[in-house]
This record gives sequence, structure tokens and C-alpha cells, in this order.
Amino acid sequence: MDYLDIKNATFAYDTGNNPVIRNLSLTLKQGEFTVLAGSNGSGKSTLLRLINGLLIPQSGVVMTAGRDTSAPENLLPIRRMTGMVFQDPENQLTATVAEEDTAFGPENLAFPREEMNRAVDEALDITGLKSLRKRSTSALSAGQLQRLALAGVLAMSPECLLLDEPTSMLNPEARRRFLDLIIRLNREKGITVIMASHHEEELLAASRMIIMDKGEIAVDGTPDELFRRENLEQWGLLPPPALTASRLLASEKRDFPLLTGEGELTDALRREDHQLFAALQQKDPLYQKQTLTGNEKEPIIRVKDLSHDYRKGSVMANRALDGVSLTLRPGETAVLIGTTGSGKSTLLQHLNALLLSDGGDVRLLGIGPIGRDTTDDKAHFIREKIGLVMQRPEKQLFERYVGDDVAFAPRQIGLKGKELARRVKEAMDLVGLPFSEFKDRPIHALSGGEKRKAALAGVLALKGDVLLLDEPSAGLDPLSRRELHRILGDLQKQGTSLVIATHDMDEAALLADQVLLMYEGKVLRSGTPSEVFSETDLLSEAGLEAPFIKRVEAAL
Amino acid sequence: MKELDFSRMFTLGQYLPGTSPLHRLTPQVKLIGIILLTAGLLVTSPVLGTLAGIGLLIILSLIAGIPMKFLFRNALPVLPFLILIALLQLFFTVAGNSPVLYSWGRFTITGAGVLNSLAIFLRFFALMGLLTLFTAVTPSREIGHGTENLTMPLARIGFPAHAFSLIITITFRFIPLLTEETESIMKAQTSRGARIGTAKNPVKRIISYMPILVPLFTASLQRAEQLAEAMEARCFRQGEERTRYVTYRYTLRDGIALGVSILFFGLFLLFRLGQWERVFIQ
Repeated sequence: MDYLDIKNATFAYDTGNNPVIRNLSLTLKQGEFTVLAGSNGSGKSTLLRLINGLLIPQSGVVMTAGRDTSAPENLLPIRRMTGMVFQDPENQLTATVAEEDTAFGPENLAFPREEMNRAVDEALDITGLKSLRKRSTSALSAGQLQRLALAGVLAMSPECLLLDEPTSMLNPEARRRFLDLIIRLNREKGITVIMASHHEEELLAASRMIIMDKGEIAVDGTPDELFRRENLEQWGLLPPPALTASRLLASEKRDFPLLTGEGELTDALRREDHQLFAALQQKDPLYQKQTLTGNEKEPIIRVKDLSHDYRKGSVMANRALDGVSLTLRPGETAVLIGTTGSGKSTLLQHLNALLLSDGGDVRLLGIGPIGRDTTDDKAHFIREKIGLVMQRPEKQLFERYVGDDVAFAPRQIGLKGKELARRVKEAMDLVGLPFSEFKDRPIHALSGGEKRKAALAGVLALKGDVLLLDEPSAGLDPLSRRELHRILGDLQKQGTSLVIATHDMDEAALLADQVLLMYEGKVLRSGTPSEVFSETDLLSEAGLEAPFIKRVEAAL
Repeated sequence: MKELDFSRMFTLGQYLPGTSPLHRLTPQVKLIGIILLTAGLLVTSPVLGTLAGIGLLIILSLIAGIPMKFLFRNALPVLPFLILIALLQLFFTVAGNSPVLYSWGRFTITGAGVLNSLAIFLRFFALMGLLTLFTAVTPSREIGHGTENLTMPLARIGFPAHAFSLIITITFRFIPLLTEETESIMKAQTSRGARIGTAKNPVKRIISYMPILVPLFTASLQRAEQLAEAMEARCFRQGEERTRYVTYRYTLRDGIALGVSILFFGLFLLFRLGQWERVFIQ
């Protein structure tokens, strides 16, 4: 039976103009696991919202579970049977205690007492949150919150789950756990799953993949089949690392099969002699990096034994940094890896003189130790020379036009006229938003990836010596992520020093000269990328996984 | 240089988990209790009434197992202002028939003046302590539940009792998120060189807040929209019949607490009406 039947649906937020979904038709069988792929802004989220009647098409018909979404009386049964989990874990919870949030749906549906208790118990059990049921939602991690959002939907015993990039804000371990849960619900309970995602591993887990482009279905097939297409980039996608690797291997040894899955690749490699894997290693950026022993320049950042406590002196006090040290010499890139809450962001903010240390010694650009007696002028000088790009920096855009926002920081340091225009142009050109084309674009008309670039340009316009980046690629589609890595690579070539916080291990392997593995405010291990990424046990203890090449190596 | 760490600036209204009889009261009773006692303290006589209030506060804090120090810690930042106001009261209370205790040039200290400045301290500490005690034994969700239960009878005449309590709960849920958001936007703009609120010219000062206000409004609206979508997707409908996951049962403890609250409310009124403090003034 078809769970979903869409016929010629068209939808525009601004009625009549710029449809986000164009004349789209689609049928889905019950029990299928379908993923929606495509670049930011291709219409994935809108399509999901059409399925459960949060949005109603202006023309065409959407039939979900055999019911027309345009009839108001159908909405309640549709939404009960078709639960939805959204991208941001924080913005979908209504209660301050975990189990009470799970009960929100059943309460709305006026479940009787016994049934409600059973539904809540079961949902918390499946999602592994039973022991946390009395916890305050503000004390849960992003991964736990997202599982709680799922529990809230499961408590209404749905037949179908709509998932809108549900793991894009989670760290690797939490993301894997969430994905495993979804796979189990699909296989064991027969729940139909429709999930929008950018993540190759998640896309490969599905039985059917639909790539969206400008509100239409570009292609429809199995993930394995679609990922082999030549022209993936036009949809913001990149081939999975296993496929790239097997293509490389095939150029070494002609009969090597082209594989998309990591497991299949390691199986195939096991049958080959070790020489072939060595060839793969050689080409990987992780093994091409030379150690930076030659750099004897005076450090521009020197942190010794730094500690930081949030809410110091209150019952809620927690230690965010505990005895952290870091030395960065000009031209180097240090990458901080660790899960949310490991202290990466706190450390970055110390490097920008936004936070002051409770213990330890922070010296920036030879100024220091930074403390309460550091003058405001010195702090402004530090922030001019050491730029900080915060998490989701597109949130800080506030001007109407791109050019004005990029000009904000250089204007603050007193630049005017030609010099100001030159700085703005340089920064915008560098991030790939050509000045002539983008300076007068309204910010709201930019795509997600373009907004990220504009925010980056807004900091680059200061032309500092050091750039601090907090999760720079989080939430971007694979192509935008590669574009960002190109920009950062260009900056490295220009001699800019970088400190990057990330939980994307492949990003760390690609960019780092030194890696600091952080966990609960401490640096567990630091060293060259290949040193740190060889510590597979330490990585998994810290909730991370090794980069692709190290995973394959470990599996062999 | 100042630090941008909000968590060190706000410590008010903290819940201290516990199982004391005070913690375990039904939320409705806690709410009625705090309303009665606050109202009583506001109208009661400045010295005897508030002293009785502080006495009650001490007993309650012992029952709840919450140290007095915790109750009054929030008073510290306000103390300098309080002292200033109390001093003004001391020197400038004009009371025709009140005995002059001390006089120096144009300044005179009268019995009424001493009484008034003393009262400011007592009343402030009593109210502050009481409210802190209330939030210390009442988790935010109970404030939502309690309000809903109290306003339920009004639902019959069309009052949206559940929506009202949902607003309270959601407010409690989102305040920390918005604080966090404000902090992160402020940090981002500061690191872009913004000098916020430091200009002397008032127009310039207001303009300097724009880089924070604009993104904050945008982000809040987005959050509101996403939350509304999520609630709708989970079958929320305004005004429809629904059941409740958490329910409360009244016990003897609640009856006693209610009785004590009413008793003290009466006592506070009595102090006001009795006017026994005139003795000090005349």
C-alpha cells in the first residue's frame, strides 16, 4: 500500500512567486526508508512539511496515509500517524522535564491515564532515556534532546516518521546512535521513514534516495546507484569517501570494484595485499602533512594551564576548562576536536579575550597575561588581530545588505572610503561572494551556505593574523563544506594562523598541523594529526570517531 | 577589561531540589501561600509585622532545609542602594509629633525616621527571602502546573487556563536559551569590534545596540515559529479537550500550609490595623 501519494503539488511561501516545490509527484510505500538529499534550499524541508499538513500545497494533492491534507478534519489523524522531528533539538520541546515533554502529544490527544503512562514509558524505553526521565531538559545534551524529541513523537505510536536533518547539530557518536535508532524502528517496527539529510552515511542507510533540486525531484533511485553519478556536485553532494577511495584504488589496480559503503570497501581491501592500502594512505592528506618542527618563530598564542568555571560560586558551577595548554606559532593551524561541552568554544573565547581566566596564563600576540587589568584598548587590538567566527555565524548578520554587514568590523576600527571598500571587496572575493555581484544583495535573499560565507567575510575583513573558527562547517551541505575548506586552505597559504574547533574528524585531518583532543575541559592528547588519530580508544572514549582513512586502517 | 560571561551575573530564582514537606506541597498551595504572604508583608506594619514575617521565614527555611545565607545572598548587590535610601529616610522623615532623638544643624533624627529606615531593611529582607524560598522549593514546571490548576475553574467562563500555563512553562524553558543567545551574539559583535552602550551621545548609544537587537529579534522569531510548528506537528490544538500527565493530590500537609498562610495573612493585617507601633513614635 502507498503511504504517501503526492500529485502535481506546487507550493510557494509567497503565493504565486518563486515556488519552493514545483509540480512535484511522488509515491512512497509503507515501511520504506527514504532519504531526501540536495543542497540547502532545494525544498527538502518544505516537502516534509507538506506531507504532514503543516503546509498545504497551492495546487495539486497530497495524500498521506490515504487522507487528503487539504481537508482540515484530516490533519489530526495525519499528524498522529506521521510524526515529525525537526533540525534544532532545542526548539521543539515544550516542557522543562523530560517525561512531561514526551507526554505532550498524548495529552493533546486526550489519552486516558493508563494508556498515556504506557505510551510514555515505552517511548522513553526505546529511545534509551528511561534513566533520564525526571531530568530537566536544560540538563540534557543535544543528542539526548533529539532522542527526546523522537520519544515525544513515538509516544503517539506513529506509522511514519518525518525527519528534517535531525542529526545536523549532533556530534559523531550521538549522530550514529540516532541513526541506529531510526534504522531499528524502520526494520523492527516497520515504521516508514522519510529523512532529509546531508550526511553520506545516513543517506547510504536508506533503501531509496531522492535528490531534490529547485523544488523538483532531480533523480530517484537507490543511494548506491545515485552516488555513482558523475554530476553529484550540481546537487550539493559529494561521493562518499569509500567511493572516492575505491576510484583511487581502481586507478592503481584495474579490477578493483567501485564501492560506496565503508564496510564493503574494507572487505574488498582485506582480500588484496597490503601494498594497495599503502597506496591509498599515501594519497591521503593525513599522511602528506609534515610535522612542523622547523617553525621556530615566536608563538602568537601561548596558553598555559588555563582553567575556567561557569557560574562560579553558585550551586550550578561547572568547570569548562581544566589545565589546558596550547602554543600556536605564526602560520600554523591548530584544530580542537571534542564533543559539545568538551570546552572547545570556551577555549576559543579565551583566545579572543572575551573570557578571562580563573587560573593559568594566556598571552596573545605577546600581550599578557590577559586579565582584568588588561586595558580595553588592548582587548580591541587583540580582537582586531585575532578574528573569531562563532558557531552558526550567520546568526550575527544584522545589516540589510551583504556589503554593509561585511563592512561593519573594518568600520569599527576606523577605516573609511577607498580603504574600507578595498577591505570589503578582498574579503568577499576571498570567500567566493564576488563583491560586484553580492555587495547590494539583501541578506535575507542569500542561501544558508552564502550567509555562512558572508559572516566569514565579515570577520576576514579585519585582515587579522589569526582566525578562530567554532564549528565552521556545521550544518552545511557537502559541497559548501568543501568550498569552505578551500577558503581555509587559501588562508593557510596566505600565512594566516588558524584555530578551528570541530567534531568533523575529516575536517581536522585535512586542515590541522596540530590536533588537541578535548574531553570534559581537559586536553586528553595533543600532537600531529596522525599521532592523535592513531589513538582510536581515546577517541571513542571522548565520543568521537577516527577519520575515514584511520577507520579503514583499524578495520583492516 | 570586563568579561562577557553572563552566567556569573545572574544567580536569582534558583530551584534547590529536595524532599522537605515544603518541597512536596501541591503547587497550587505553594502559589496561594506565596501570594497571601507577599500581600500580607506588603501591607503589614513596618516593624512588628515584618519581624513576625521574618520569624515565619526562619521557621520555613528550617523546614525546607535551606540555609538563610542562600535566601539573602541575592540581596548583596542591592545593599548599597538600600543603605542610601535608608539614610535618606533617617534624615528626612518629617513627623510633627515624633520625638527628636538627635539633632545637628538642619538635620534631625526622629523616632519615626529611625522606624522608617529600619522598616525598609526588614521589609526588603522579608520579601526577598520569601520569594527566594519560594523559587528554591518550586521547580519551574510546578509554577506552570499550579497556575493551570488554580485557573481551571475559570475555564468554564472561557479563560484559556491551559494555554496560560503553557505560556508560563515555555517562558521558563526559553529564558535560559535567549540569555545564551544574547550572550553569543554580544560576543560575536564584540569580537567584530563593536563597542556596545559606551557612547556618550544617547542616539549613538541606542544605535550601538542594533547589532545585538536585530539578530536577537530575528532569532527569537525563528524560534517561536519553529516551536509553533513542532507543537502543531504534535497535535496541539488550542481549546480542545486534553488529559494531564502530571496530577496532584491534596494531602493533610497542604491543608496545614494553607491554614498557616491564611493565619499569617490575618496576623499581618491585624498588625497594620492595631497600630501598636505608635508607642515608638510618640
